[in-house]
Amino acid sequence: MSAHHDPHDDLIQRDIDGRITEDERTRLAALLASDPVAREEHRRLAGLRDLLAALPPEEPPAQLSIKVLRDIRARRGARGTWSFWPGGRLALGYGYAAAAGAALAILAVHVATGGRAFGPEPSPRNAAATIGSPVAPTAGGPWLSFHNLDRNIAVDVAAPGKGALDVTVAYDAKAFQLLGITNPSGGLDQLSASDGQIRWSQERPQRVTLLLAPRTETGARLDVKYTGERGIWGVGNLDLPGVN
Amino acid sequence: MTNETDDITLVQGCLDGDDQAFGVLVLRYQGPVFNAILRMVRDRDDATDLTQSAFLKAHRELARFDDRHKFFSWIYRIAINEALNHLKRNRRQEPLDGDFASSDRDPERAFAGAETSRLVQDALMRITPDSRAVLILRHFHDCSYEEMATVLGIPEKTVKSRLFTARRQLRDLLAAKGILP
Repeated sequence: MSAHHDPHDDLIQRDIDGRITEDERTRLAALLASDPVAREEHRRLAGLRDLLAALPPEEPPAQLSIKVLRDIRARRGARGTWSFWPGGRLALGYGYAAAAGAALAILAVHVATGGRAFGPEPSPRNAAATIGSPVAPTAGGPWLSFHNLDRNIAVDVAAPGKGALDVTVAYDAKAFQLLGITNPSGGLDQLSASDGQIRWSQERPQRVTLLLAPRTETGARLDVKYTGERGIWGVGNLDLPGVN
Repeated sequence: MTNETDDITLVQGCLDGDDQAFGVLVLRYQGPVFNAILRMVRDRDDATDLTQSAFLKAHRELARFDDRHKFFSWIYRIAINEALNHLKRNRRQEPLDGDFASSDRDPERAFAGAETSRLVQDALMRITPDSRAVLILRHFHDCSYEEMATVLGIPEKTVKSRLFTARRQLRDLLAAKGILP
């Protein structure tokens, strides 16, 4: 398609597109002041620009990303269990919720010994974990952490201990929406999720990632509890941020 | 705390076998890609299928991605090509049938917004797909001339020329509908 417009049209178009220089702006002002045709052209194109800018984008279908990722994994023959709960309902056998990245900061979890009950009292720290057991579980590093993932929050839960564990995660459903849960090694049983609570059982150590979308500016606390054989148990909590 | 892992890092992670990295790219770009395709083809179901297809193709050909360019330019290029090929296959230009629902919660505003969206989309479908693409990239995705040239694989001069013509066509169509003076 060939162009059949004059330099004045170029000037007007560059202004409509926000690409005009100061020198060009001065020339445009002079043009618009002296040429009613150019002035009308500018006004109408500005009207078109403003009209299009006011149209809201459409929301993609809720299942779109799930379908894409399911097909990719199916094509690759990848193993692993990925679960998503669009709208709070278990919908598919897998999905994607989190990504590892060197630039993502992970908030270290302060690990302490002793017995503090898993309860609703607020923690003064950003994160805390308590492990108690007649037979001390392995607790070589942080097992509860989070990182920001775009506008969402990925919470990593890697409850320590070699044996079977039952894990419960509690969060304020008014503060966060659960977008998904992943565990690449596929070793979760009895996975369930309802508003504000996620439970699962695991036969061996797992790293589970929860993807949460903040709903408020203030954020809220998330609590994790696990119990295992021979009295092994642990609790932890994170103060998660709100909307950025 | 870092808010975002940059696209190139995610692409590299995916190439290194980290499937989850591509998941983040999908979550990040599914909205813009879906909207670009929807504006191109108008039908939501078709747009959903084509968006899915675009991401699958991107994943399959990720090794060919040139990281001197931006990932969004690359995925937009795939998306626009998917849409253009779809339109060539189907050659459908029928009027809009009300697929564009508004998310506005006020009923009157929602109706007005949906009606405007419908009429704008109707007008978009009446200009050529190539011209439609430049309008969509410029006005709905805020692409620069250079970015549009990369996405569409055409010189910047051609981008400007198409944009000039497409704007006039769309403006006249909308003026005829009473949407613009």
